[in-house]
Amino acid sequence: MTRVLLMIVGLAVPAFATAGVVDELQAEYRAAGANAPSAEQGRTLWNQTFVVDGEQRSCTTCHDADLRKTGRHAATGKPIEPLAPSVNPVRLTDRGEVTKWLARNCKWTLGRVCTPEERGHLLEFIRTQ
Amino acid sequence: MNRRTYWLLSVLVIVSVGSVFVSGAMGHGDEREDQARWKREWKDMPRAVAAVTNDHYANECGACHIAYPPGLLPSRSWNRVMAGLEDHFGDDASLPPETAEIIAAYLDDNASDRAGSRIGAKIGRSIGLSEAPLRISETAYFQRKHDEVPQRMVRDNPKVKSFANCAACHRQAESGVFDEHDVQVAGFEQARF
Repeated sequence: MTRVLLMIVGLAVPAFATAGVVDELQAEYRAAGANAPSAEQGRTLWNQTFVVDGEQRSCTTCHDADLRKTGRHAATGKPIEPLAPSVNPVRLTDRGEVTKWLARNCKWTLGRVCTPEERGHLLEFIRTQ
Repeated sequence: MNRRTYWLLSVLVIVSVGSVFVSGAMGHGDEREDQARWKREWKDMPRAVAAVTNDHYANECGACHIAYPPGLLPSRSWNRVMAGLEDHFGDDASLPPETAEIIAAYLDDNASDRAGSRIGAKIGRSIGLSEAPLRISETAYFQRKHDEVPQRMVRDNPKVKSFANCAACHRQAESGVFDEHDVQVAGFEQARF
């Protein structure tokens, strides 16, 4: 009985973890003055092109427009596992990973850090994929 | 020619030839000794470079490119890489100080000039002592080994894109094996080399 219970808990934890990390961050962005996160605005941002260092850059340069697909690093060509939690459940489960990559990749793609609101939109979009 | 002249000439020949040998040996003695030592050491080294064993390094540095086996560059190169993570070939690859410290120590301990492998030793020998290249692909040994690879297989090949993408062709790169007999260029699987 205990075993069965543990198994159920074990299966349920990853699902909660995704919700947990994203919800926790969304609350922090709201506290920092961000408007309510919108998956639609996240999608727009995801597909938007920016010019940085004379180069056209977008989230889709390395990830794909379809987040369920494997991407490829623009410079090194290394495959990047899908970002969509629906096909790659480890995504959005580790707070450190989420904040690290949002910080680094906004700098590369937009040429600056993303505002809390932009981060909220992006996370809201990614979690629905 | 009388006997005496013959004898004098012989001595002269022996002395001059001998001096050439002696001066040659004096001029190249260090180099020859170095060469001999290198051959002895090289024979005892494993062919493959040691595979990556540090989880921090594998996870943090293996996200955008393969976690290059540290034995492919000398420690002075790794120190330079770790000192410039904020602008790592145009990407921000900065790390929390405690993680950076662990990774820097791992790279230093396992660099080509600390842990021996045939391939690491050959790369190391192709780098000037005052040089600390940031890219393995900048080293003379790497370039010599890849000078026959056409651009259509690498830069213009969407499945490879860059020489940084070792594993696209060296399928066992992550285990430290870069033997040319194991090469299979992504997208050119049917090609024979």
